[in-house]
Amino acid sequence: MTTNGTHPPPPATDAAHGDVFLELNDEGKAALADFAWVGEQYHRGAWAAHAGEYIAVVRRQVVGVGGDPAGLRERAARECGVPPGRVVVSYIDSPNDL
Amino acid sequence: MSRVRLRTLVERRVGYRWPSDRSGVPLTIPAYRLRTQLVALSPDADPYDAPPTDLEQFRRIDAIFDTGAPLTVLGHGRWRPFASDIRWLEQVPTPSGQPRRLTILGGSWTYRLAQVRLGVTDEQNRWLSAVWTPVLCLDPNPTTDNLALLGLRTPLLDRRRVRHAGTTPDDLPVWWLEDDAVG
Amino acid sequence: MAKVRVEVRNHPLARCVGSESPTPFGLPFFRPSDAARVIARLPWYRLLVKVVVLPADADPLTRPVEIPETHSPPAILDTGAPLTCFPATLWRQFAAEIRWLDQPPREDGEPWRMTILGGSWTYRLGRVRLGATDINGRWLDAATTVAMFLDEPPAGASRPPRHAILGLRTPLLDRRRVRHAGTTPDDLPVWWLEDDIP
Repeated sequence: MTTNGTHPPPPATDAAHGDVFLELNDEGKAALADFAWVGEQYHRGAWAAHAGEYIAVVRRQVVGVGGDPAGLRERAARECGVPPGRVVVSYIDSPNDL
Repeated sequence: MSRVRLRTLVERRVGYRWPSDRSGVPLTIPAYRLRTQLVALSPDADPYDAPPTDLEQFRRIDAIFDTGAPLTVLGHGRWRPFASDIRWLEQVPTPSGQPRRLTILGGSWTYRLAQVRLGVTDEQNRWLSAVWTPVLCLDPNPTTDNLALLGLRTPLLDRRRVRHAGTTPDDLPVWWLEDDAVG
Repeated sequence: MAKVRVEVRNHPLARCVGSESPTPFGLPFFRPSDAARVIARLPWYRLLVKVVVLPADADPLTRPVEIPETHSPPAILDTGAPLTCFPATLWRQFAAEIRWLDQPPREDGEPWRMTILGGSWTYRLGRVRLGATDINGRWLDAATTVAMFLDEPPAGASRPPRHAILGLRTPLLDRRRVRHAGTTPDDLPVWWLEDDIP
């Protein structure tokens, strides 16, 4: 993992609320954006067909679906030419998980 | 601001050792449970006033405060004594025709969906006003008859917060359930 | 005041015959007074915190500039779980950051197990440094948390949970509060995990 060292600069904050924000690099921002997109689509029911499986997402595109998250991540990373840590792999809850 | 103190109980201690430790003496991590006292009121009781101290004991329900439980759950032994005060909801049949089940405690249990008028109190008789709360009332089963969980989806948590406020001199965590004064 | 937005995720329940709901979320029921028998739905959701596993030897105040998805699983915020827990599918991706602890053997010689949901699984105890973030990149400083790391179950055994569980005993909750702050225009509840500033 890349970090900003052992002596971090003062955190970026939202002056109105005092929130502390990470100073992410472009890859970090892109991964969080994909993670957010997966959540948005989830609430629209977009992943209902994949309930009980994992989906892999890169740049707002589903690049793989399967039951083995580690294998899915490796394949998606290879095919998309990104590091494995850049691939958002999300489990889609199934009604049968109750 | 209305609030109640949650009780912290050490359920068990999990023993461990550092791999490099040759002393043979295990350390322990206390595994806590957060507990709260629910009060099941009848439909005609005043929801705003703290319940009288002589309230029937079966209406006081010692429950685990459980944000991991989507809904409040009461075992049969807990809800049966005030069953006449419960509003039962008719469930939509499942496609398979099988009854709906809740999967917890290493098993899967049938239930009836209902609403119960629940308030929250504590040992100092603080009080959070009673509201109709959706509850999964479990069917009779020895494993679950005494179960009581205050789950996430209840108006009792609306605009409220659960707050860790440090520790007691005995090193027990102090937790409060209280109105959200921040807004 | 540091805080992170807690993701609220509806759980899909069985789609019902006759339901015309565009999304299959919520426990379906009929209102007692509704002669038309329109299906009502009781929302059923979970709170998810995007925890971030930092290197074990990182300075406590280190803030990452990149968060590998392998190291930042969403975890169910579960005050009913005494300890934090990670299924094998998740912790294997950050295994290098776990400091393993030994457990004294049980008197009956059986392995230690944890029972949650519909099953019981063996586990190893370990320590990991956890921070928390959200979709906007907010940050709660990391703290070392003891957790249960579930073993991969043998073939044919019941499936372990898919999500990590952020349990009650984690320093990530110390002097913090979990706050319900109303609802979104879509009627989803808004929850925060934040520092407790009086």
